[in-house]
Amino acid sequence: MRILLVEDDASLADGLRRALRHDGYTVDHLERGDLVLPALRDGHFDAVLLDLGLPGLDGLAALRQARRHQHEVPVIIISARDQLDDRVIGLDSGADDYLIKPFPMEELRARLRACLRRQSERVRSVLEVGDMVLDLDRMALTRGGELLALPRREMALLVELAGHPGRVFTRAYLEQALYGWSDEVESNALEVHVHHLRRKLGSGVIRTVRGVGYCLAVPDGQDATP
Amino acid sequence: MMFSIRRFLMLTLLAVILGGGLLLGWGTYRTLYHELDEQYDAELVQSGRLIASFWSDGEVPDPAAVALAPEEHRYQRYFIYQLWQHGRLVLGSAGAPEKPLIALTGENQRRVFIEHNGWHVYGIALPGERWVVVAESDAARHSLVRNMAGTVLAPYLLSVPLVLILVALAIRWGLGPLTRLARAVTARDEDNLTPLRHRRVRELAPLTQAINALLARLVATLEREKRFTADAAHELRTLLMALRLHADNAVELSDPEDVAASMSQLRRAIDRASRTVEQLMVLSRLDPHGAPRTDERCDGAEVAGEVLATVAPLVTRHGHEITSAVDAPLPVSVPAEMLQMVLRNLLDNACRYSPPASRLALSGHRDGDWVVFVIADGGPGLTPAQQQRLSERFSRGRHDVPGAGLGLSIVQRILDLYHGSLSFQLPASDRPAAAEVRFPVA
Repeated sequence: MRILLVEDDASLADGLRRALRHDGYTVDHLERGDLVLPALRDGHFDAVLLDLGLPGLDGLAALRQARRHQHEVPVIIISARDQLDDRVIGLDSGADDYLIKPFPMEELRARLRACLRRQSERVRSVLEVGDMVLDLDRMALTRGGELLALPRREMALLVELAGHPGRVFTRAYLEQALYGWSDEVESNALEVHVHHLRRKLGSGVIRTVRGVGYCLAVPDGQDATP
Repeated sequence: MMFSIRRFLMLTLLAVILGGGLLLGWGTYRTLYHELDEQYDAELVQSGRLIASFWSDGEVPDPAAVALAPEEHRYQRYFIYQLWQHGRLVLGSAGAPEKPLIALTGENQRRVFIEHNGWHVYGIALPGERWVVVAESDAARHSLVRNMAGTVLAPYLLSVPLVLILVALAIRWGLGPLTRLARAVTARDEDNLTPLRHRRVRELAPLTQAINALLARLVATLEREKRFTADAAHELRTLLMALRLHADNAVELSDPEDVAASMSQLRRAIDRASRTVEQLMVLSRLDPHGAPRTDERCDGAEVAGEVLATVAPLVTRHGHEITSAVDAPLPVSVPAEMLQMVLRNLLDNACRYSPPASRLALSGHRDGDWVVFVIADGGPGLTPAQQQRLSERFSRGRHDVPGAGLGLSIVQRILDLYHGSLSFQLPASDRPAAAEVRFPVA
């Protein structure tokens, strides 16, 4: 899951980035409001965390601009502006949620999960594919009742694929979902992660679609679209 | 008791009306009395002469021929006469005394008193040692004058209550705009500071204008306070958020690098919070609108030296070099701690916003009525738009540089209080970017 963090307070941005990365998200950080639209245009993001008082372009203006350009990515406003008017205007401008600083990280996590669930039209955050049970909230994977610990990027890859079992994800999409702008990406990094996942979960779990990308194998009897 | 315009006007007008009435009455009485006296005296002389013309020598005149019949007229009893011959009373009217009313020598006319009543007496000497003496009581003319004066004064005095009622109504009507203005002012409170409606009353216009000007200042002050509180709350929320986040991260994250970074971020966030709180305190102390004492002064050279010592560690940490050229002594009309705050903030900014290992310079000299301090740095300088933005509270030049964004607001506030000014120079080929502060010379 790739998240765009737009926050001009360097200290706060650093803390949020670390906390979210720890949760398994890929986080890209912007300081300026006028860079939000180009960022959304150039890559796929699963959610945007947006501060309001931003240099370049105010957060609200950036949000309206993005919505005008048909970007439907979930946006959570994180702001110290606590007035009712601010919140109403924020939500009416196209935000999916509004969090007032200071907020506990737990709340941001829960709201982020809720946004992502709505986005993928799921009501539960537990995915069952075959005998694997993937708890997206806890980023925990069990197979046959046993907990399987996975490194951060492998888990992120599995979560992406499990979001839509059976759907083919392009290599470019998956690389973006796994790596932020600042991360160095080896050309075969994705293959390495797939290889590790197959070794741990069984070779039939991830199917390679040649020339396109990868998809999670759907066992017989299960609907391809959740 | 409080002074009341209404009572003052009522009492003054009452005094004027009554005083005028008294004066009018007294004047009328005096004039009438004088005129009547002359008129009556003339008639008395005429009556005497008339009686004398009917009295031939050697005969006793018929009383009916010389006097009116008894009680024929109400003023008649005020008139008496005596006819004397050889010192003997020949004839006297009813009520006339047996003694001569005047000494019977020569022709004269004078006033005598009989039984406490004033009488005007006139005597005419006739041939053959005869005297005609006529007299008239003052009571007649007194009662006539009193009646006439009363006739003039009565309507006047009767009209006084009516006049007073009309005056009271006029005063109430005249003071109406004042009453309404008072009500309008009373209705104003911190939630309703709308300007007062302008009234078409010349006397109230200056008052209304003054109150409206005061209201406008009050609105501006409240607005500023509100904005400041909102800004401060915003800033503190962000600071708290950072503190909480880094503390949580330090506890929850597993990667040692993350934990170490969180701890260091936490420490920096605490530094920033302390600095912000400290500067907020400074600003709140500077904010009261009480005029500063203008007699405070200090030696600019001495203060500059102290500030240089204070910022030395910061200068070293950024790898800058600083030179100083301040004329001594340099008397400035601003308290030492305020000048210190201004110079320290500007040097602080110079350190923070200059690229590492820059050359900084502080100079101070006198320029006519001004003392000028110039802080040159190695930074890119400030455009007018940035200058405008920077004097707003909590606005920070660069977001990767720590600071609360209060420094220049504090500087600006001190400049406002002590009639100083601040300007920025963009760097040019022959000189670096610089901030220039001016204070009046002491």
